[in-house]
Amino acid sequence: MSTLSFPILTVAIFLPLLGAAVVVLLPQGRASLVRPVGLAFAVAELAVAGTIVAEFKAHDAGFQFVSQHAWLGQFGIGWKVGVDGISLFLVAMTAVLFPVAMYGPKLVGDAKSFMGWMLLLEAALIGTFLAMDLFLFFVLFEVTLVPGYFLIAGWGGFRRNYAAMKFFIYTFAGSAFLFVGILALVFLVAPLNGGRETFDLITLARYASHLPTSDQELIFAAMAVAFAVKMPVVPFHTWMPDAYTEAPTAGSMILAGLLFKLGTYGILRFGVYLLPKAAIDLAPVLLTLGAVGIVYGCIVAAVQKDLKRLVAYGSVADVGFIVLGVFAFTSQGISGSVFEMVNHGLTTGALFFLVGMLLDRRGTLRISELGGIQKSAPILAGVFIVVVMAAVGLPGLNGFVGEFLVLVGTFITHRWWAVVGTSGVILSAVYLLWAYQRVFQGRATGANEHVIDMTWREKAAIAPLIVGIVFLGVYPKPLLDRVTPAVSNLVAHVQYADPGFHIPSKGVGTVYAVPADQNVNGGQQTPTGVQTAAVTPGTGGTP
Amino acid sequence: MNAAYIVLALPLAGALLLVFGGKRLGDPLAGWLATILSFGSFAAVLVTWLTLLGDNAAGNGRLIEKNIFTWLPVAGLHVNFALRIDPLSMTMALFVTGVGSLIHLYSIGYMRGDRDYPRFFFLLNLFLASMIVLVMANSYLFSFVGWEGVGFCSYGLVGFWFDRESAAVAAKKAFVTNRVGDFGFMVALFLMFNHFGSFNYSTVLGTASSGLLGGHATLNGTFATGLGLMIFLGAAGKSAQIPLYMWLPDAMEGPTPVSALIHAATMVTAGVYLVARSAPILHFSHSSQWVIACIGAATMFFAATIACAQNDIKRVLAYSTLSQLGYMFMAEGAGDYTSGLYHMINHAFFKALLFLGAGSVIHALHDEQDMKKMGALRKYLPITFPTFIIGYLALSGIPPFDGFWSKDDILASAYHMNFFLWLAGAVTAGLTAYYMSRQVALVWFGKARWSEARGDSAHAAVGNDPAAEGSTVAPGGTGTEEAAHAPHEGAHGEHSGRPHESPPVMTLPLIILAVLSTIGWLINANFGGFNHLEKFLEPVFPTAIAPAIHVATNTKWVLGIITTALAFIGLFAGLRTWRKVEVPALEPAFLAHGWYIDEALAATVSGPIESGADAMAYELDARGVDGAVNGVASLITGTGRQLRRVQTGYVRNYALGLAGGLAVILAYVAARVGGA
Repeated sequence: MSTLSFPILTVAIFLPLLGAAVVVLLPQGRASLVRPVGLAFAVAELAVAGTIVAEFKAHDAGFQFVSQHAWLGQFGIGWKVGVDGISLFLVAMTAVLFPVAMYGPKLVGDAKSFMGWMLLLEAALIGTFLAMDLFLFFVLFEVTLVPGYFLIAGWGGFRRNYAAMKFFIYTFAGSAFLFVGILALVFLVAPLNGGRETFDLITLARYASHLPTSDQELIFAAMAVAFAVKMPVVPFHTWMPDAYTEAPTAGSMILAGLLFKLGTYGILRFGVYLLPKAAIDLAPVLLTLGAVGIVYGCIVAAVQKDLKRLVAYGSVADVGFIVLGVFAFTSQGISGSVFEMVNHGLTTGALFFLVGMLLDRRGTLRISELGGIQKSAPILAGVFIVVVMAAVGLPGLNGFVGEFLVLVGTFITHRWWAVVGTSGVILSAVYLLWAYQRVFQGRATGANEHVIDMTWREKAAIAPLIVGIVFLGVYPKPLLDRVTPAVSNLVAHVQYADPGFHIPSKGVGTVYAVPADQNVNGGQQTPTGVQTAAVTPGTGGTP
Repeated sequence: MNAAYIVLALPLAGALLLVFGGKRLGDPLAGWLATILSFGSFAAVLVTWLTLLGDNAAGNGRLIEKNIFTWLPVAGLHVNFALRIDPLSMTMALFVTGVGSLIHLYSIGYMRGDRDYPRFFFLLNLFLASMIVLVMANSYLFSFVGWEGVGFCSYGLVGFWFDRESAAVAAKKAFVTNRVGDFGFMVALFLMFNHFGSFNYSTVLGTASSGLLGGHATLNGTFATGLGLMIFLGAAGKSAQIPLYMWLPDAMEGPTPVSALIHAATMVTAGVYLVARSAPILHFSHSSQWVIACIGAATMFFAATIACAQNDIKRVLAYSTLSQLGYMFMAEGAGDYTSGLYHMINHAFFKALLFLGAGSVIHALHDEQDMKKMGALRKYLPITFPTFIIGYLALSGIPPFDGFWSKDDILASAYHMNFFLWLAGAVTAGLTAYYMSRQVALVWFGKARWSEARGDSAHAAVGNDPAAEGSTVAPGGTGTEEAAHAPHEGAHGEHSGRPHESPPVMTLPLIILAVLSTIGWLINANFGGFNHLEKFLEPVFPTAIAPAIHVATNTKWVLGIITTALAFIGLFAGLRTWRKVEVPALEPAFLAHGWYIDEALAATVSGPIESGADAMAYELDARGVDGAVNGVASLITGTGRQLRRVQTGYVRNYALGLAGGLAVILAYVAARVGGA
């Protein structure tokens, strides 16, 4: 598969880990070196991720750069990593957001351990997105909790201990379900696989659909609980506003922008892919939670008194969109969800960064104490409104592409959920523009009259995010060309698992051939009823 | 035909240049740059239009598409950015860029000295680019991009003087209300994709060669109604029709050129355009045509009554815009798209003229907007006065000015649909002449009330008037432009209190628009073969989807005479009542407060809705959901003592404990499942 002669994905996982070790081992007297060295590793990781994206073959639905090494073979556990269209841009997103978060926000406290935890977190995150072995995934999934915990507890706000503990226990409790689900799946599949236990994703996917439906549903439910807590879906979300709000700026950026993509990515990669039949059966529950989440998140966000909490609740609504798209089981819906995961990383990352700038300047984020800041800090306000408009889903910026694809994809199979979700376009405008009005507009009084505008360092740090927001909104094709093939095959796989569930052909699209060792449907990727031809009506435009 | 790309590229380039280099260019270079690019865009539209006229290979129904690039390629959904050049898009583009350029020019003078001069022209250029996308896009979805783009620019320009609370609130209100319409537009897009598998106008609506609706012989009536009404919901948001109208009067918080360009001439007509574009769909749903006609008629009448009792010079014009948009929708509901569009073009001329004239007055009086503090200005503004009068006569439907012709056409078509629609239109014509006469009398005639009201202390009051804050929701109140407009004031400080005529960059557009309002009948007067617009638009509205409306010539004459008589009655009633030295108090509070609808809505939002949301956040979420979570947590940890221990530094032990517990679960499950 790989066009590269060395295992670049393994390098991508170990490079930040090495960075963490180097930073921690730097002599105490060299404190000034900590940030540059840490940052250098993050930038090097960005280069590696850039190489992966550049070398990735578009219009290819399979896993690429797969590398496999023996590891705990006696338990059926292997070191197997690969990247496909679904994970590619999550890896890229991670590699972009870390240097921004490490360089941009003002850092108080112990830089050394901060950098160490950040790089460890980056390694674990990249690994989770790349893992093709369920055990490897689970281990890395859990490892992310530790730096997450210490970043909140070590550099957080006033209620940081409470928030960190809640974050840790809540998501850890969810993970227990995931672990049970994974083990049950492995042991139940073993007899079908000639009695050999394996944690290999492809092998499990090949046999899991032959399990009794009730087993599939139970395992899926266990996984769904874990991932629902992680995302988080209403009503499992209450740890999240606390965690986001109390975390330091860089921590919020990473937590909101990346860490919680693990939930949405997990449900897609492991829930839907491994157990498509169960996913279809339980879809109404998750679609409902998603649609409720959109409305609920926006309304609760609107009346928050703290700007950071407001942004945090906004994420509940964004997660709702992602869930909606995943369980639409159409190419548009799932591609939209993957797009939305990337968007959310850019947009929420930028929003928390900007909110952090306000906190640095004003010492408070109580909305009632802010106002009229646009006058003294016009650039900060201008960047803020661009990000707000991206979050509101203004076409031409990235948010719209994801949101629209999710909704149009959901409408194909689940019309009324999509209509409820569409009300999010009104509600998100309400809470975000109201917040913008109260914070940036009106007459400035007191300390709000003399807010320092963005510094050069802040401008440089946020620039990649803004460029991404505009670029993906105007020209999303490069991303979609890489995401859609993998998604279309996933949709065909879902359709194959339950031919009774009808997906209109315009919602499936082209199904691509994948290498034999990745084929999970016994060479029969396209059951009757699913069209293989590219459905591209009305391309128009070129007379 | 490649000029079509230039149409879009110039204002877009202007916006980019201004966002990064606007500060360096400064005042007035930034304004000139934007204006020149805007005129360039207009020239490119002219070239494109002439090419289209010369394109007599009639087989294609005068339709050319120019691809830009592929935007969204996802499986069965494939959307290109492409421009559609056909009679309808050219009609729109011509007047949008034409009127837009004049207003750019005017703004160079009007915004002189403003602190945020470059930002204003950045938004103006961006607006023009978005508007061009809206009208020249080849698909509903690409039009939606422009649709939202103009919405954003409107948001930015209404709230341009952001340090005024009322402007900020009005901007947000405009955006959010528009979003309610966008909800409809988006659902329409979903329905469309589901049914046609495409958003392209050519596929959804059909072409001359593919036939109606892309070859679908007919549309299911229920589906057509659903789709038509969702499209109209979007249109009603953008074009401020009942029930989504209340943002437009408040949008007058923006600088006056913005009110002229966005909230009178161009953006608010986007809904009219969208409905006209969707004519083939509406053809299959008489119910939605009826809804459109009735909503249009209701808005038309309702807004005209309110306009009779407003004191703010711009709010009168804003309600008038609502009312005139109502006429256009009524025409479209009646199936007479050409008249709707003809009225839209005429309206763009005379309403832009009136707004710019009002701006000139406001400018002359140092940002006074209350008509009760004006009067006798005709002697001081020798250019603005006659041009304003032309706009006034055109709006009032007095022949031979352009408003008369299009209004007459609309009313004949309305009569053809239903007598009561015509009656509402005719009565509104009388009301229109009345409220405009009231405005003209108060502003230009009577006694000069400005000298006593403002005096020499005019400048001292600037920026210190607490009453100017939060005045948006007080209809008939005066949302003055003074607070944030202070630098503007300073630039004219040497003029003392005496009103003065505006500079040539401001009066030239007035003169051009006055000429256009006078000769507007050349476009489509319904006699002597002057129906150029109708013939030009024929390929877009073939008789198959917009059957010709036959009203007997005699009937037309009678209808025309009655409405014109009503207009004259309104005219004289208004002038006679309001030209007096002592201004009468003839403004029922019910009308001055816009039938109290806005107040009722505001009370609902700040009352039950806000407390409901509060209850959701602080009762349900914080106590209910989170309370349950914390309850479970303390149940598990058993005692608060242990919880405290955990929180004071024994995390590693705790994590170890969890890992141990996990190992036990693991072993248990392994044993159970493995054994099974």
